[in-house]
Amino acid sequence: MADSRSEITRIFLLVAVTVVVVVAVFLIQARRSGLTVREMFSGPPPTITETIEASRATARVGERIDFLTPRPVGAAVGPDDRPMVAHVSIADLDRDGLNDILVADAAANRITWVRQSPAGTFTEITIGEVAGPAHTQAVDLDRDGDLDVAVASLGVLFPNNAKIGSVIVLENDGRQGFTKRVLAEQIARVSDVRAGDLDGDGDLDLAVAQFGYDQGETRWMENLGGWKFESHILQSLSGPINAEIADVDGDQDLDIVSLVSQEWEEIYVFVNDGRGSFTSNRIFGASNEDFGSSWITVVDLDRDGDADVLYSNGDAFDYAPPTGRNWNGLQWLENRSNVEFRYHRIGDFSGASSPQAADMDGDGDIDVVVVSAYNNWERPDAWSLAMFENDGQMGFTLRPIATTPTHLITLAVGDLDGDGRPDLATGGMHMSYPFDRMSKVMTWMGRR
Amino acid sequence: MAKKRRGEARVDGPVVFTGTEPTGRPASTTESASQGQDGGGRWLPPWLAVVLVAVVAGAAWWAAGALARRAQGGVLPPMADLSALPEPAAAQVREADTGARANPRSADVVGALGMAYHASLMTERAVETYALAERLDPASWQWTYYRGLLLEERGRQDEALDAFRRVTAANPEMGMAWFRIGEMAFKAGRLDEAEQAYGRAGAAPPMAPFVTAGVAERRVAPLTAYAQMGVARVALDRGNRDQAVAALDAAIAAHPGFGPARTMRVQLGADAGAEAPALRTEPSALRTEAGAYVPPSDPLLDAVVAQSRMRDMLLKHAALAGRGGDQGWREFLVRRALEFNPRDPNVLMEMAAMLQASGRASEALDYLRQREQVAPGDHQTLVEQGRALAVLGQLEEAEAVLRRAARVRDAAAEYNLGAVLDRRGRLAEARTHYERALEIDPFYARAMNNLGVSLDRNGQIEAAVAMLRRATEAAPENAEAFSNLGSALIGARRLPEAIRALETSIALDPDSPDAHNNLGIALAQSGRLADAAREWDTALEIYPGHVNARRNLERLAGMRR
Repeated sequence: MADSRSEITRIFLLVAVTVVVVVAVFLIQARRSGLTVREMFSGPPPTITETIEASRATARVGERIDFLTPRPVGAAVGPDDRPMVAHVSIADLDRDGLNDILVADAAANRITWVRQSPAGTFTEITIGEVAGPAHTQAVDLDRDGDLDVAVASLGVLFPNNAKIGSVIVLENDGRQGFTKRVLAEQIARVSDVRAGDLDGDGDLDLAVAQFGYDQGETRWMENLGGWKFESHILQSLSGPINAEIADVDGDQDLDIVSLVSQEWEEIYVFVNDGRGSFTSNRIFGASNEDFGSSWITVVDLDRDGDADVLYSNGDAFDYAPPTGRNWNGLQWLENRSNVEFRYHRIGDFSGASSPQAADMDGDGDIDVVVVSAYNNWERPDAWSLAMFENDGQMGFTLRPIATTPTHLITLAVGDLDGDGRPDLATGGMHMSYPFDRMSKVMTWMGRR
Repeated sequence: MAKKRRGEARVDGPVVFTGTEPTGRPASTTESASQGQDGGGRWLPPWLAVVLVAVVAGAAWWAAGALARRAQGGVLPPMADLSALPEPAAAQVREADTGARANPRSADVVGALGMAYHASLMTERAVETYALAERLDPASWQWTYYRGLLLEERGRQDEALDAFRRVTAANPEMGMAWFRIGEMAFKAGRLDEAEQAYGRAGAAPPMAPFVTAGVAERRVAPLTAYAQMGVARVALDRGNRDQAVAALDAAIAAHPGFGPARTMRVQLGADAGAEAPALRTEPSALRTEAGAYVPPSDPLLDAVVAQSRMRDMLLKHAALAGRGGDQGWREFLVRRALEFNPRDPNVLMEMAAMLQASGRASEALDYLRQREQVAPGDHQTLVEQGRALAVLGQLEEAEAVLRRAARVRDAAAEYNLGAVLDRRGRLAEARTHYERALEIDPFYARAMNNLGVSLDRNGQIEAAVAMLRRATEAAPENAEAFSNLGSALIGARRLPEAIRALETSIALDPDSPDAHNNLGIALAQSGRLADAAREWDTALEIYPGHVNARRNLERLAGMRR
């Protein structure tokens, strides 16, 4: 009996020692590997897994697509030229049924009209001298039945703190003769002007982004009639690039969406009470002060009936080399109602600028086309134009389109050839080396 | 065979498992051992028990290790594709990868691999590798911090915020992490959290700036100043302007050279239609450079930057250092960029710019010529060459180079060509090029200034006054333009205006002997001789060799006699 007890004790001891040793071994290994024992059996905690996966979570890169025919239009580019087109927009300025292209030419300090007449023939005409033009919008501001051109004037393209900006309208006499009207001047450099009835009185007011340099502003200008406007300052931050007008909160009045770059890297919605009284809401901010905000476009990207914000970060002009940053790319802010937005990264794209939304492939969902102003142009795979193809579920595949010409900073979408399919117009901003693949204004006609 | 050999080897041992257990039951082992211990011959011998436990322990060790590796998805993934990296950076990653594979359980070694990826701008791999280092040693918060930096850089705010919160949980005195939490909370509109985090950042013990061999000292603004600026933004968001002003004034008082707070304070003053009191005593703060925003110095990030071999990372931080006046750090970074990218046109240009800014035009010229070889046809290189040659007094060569540059419609080329022709005494030609510069850039203040001076010299005084007034409007921080305007106004006998312009010039740059001399002349012509004498004395204090000031004083003394 005693032998039996002793035997059981020994068995127990041996098993116990073995178990203790095994447990100790697992604990030691767990500590060495930075996991808990449970995690050793179940895998790492989701936060780390997500981190690793999310670090790769950008658009897939698909095949290059070739469905656009590029063609330079307007004045030719000589070897000693350095085109600096700040903005292109598509509009039928003379209302002849053929879309034209408006060009903000910052190298020549003028606004030109690349007129399409007859169909397929484009001729560039200067319609106004403007110092450092940054943006144009064709709009019937005086409601006389023709399209005027609202122009944002920086004064100079390069950084400057002086109050040299102005808000200008090129008033159309109905026969495409234009008279320059200065609505505001000697203010911080103006980067964007958009028209809309902001106070509900039936005329068109203006939303104005003033980039400035160290000091900038966002304002709206109340139309008092007779080409008189009264300014109302909305915000005093440097670096506003865009001031888009849209009904963001669905209350049937127009709000203002502004992109503020420089060190702020923020997007604001100024919510209108319908009478021109605005409440500021910051809907996004990157704490990377070098995020490189470059453009916003307000569009219903997910087709759910409200206004989302398509947003690129690709500005790399701040310091050398001007070759894009590896965090550059595209994202969209999903309107979740009540001026709340949810951030979605679409994908990486070096030097991303001027994203535009359109159903490029005709499959019923909205794709995104984008240009690059700052890429590493010495690399053969440095894309200057690309499409992010929507799979219909807001998943995107990057489809490179072109590497030539380089330095494309502005892009417009519209039907230029009247075939019902979206075409593109681009503008080149050649401020930095290399200068071997330059363009001023190009059209990219859709073939499918 | 093995069992038999064991049995045979121990036949003369104290108690031996004989192998004769008839049933073959496993229990026979313990029975034998038990018997053996009791002298009965049926229990395992102690050595065999130890061996058994050791074998089980070994198997457990192997199994646990395999489980851990599986759970981590492998301690280290295969080395990344380095084909897109320049060779020096690829070599750095390869070396770090080799080290990590030799010691894959070391958080420090794996973290160092993360830093190599980070320094080589391979963000995804760096994030992944830092995450592994975190798992290897959860107490080493720096890997979490680095991962947070990369997530923040890519705009992934929520994940970055989570990382920085982990850092502050592990090290509550990590001020930079608190500051970043404050920034992200502010951007997300969580003002209370932001305010609290800025408070913790401001109260945290300061971290010593990163220094390395070749960088004697760093010139950086303290984190407390940034934290106070953050508090000011929170106050502004809450509509509390007075609190914002108080926070900014405190930041400026404690750190007078902190440009971003000055800029914001000026803006707040302008909004309220009042000048900021804290700025009155230092008008030079209104100059452009004073307002440039530079992010707070981060010693941990600088440690990554210092080991980088990538042009983009090095030049970015060199630019920030230059903007913040941290010249030693700037030079270290630019030289490092050059060491690993000796033929890169951007690096050559930055090297030249740095040398030119520090007065080493001859060395700058050498790099600019190298750049011209690798980036032919770049007119900006030619403009900079022309400037360097002009500084060196090689005006003929400068003119030739600038004429080549001016084939491109470029305001800087025209302006610099005008300046060289001015110095060569070809004033009419110079004026033509200044005018061309202004056609291209209508707000080119230096061209206006030089053209104004040229018109003044040519006797076209009213045209000169108009042009110089435009220059002061285009560049209100330009002391020289105000001084020249004052001088032209003296010529036009518009003395009160001249005095105002010269006083503005002196307010912007109190150390300009010419402005003091000119102000003395304007005052003397206005009959204020004692004031005039004081200005000429000041001019001579600043520059004892100022001939005109001395002559003016002597004339005044003669008049008094």
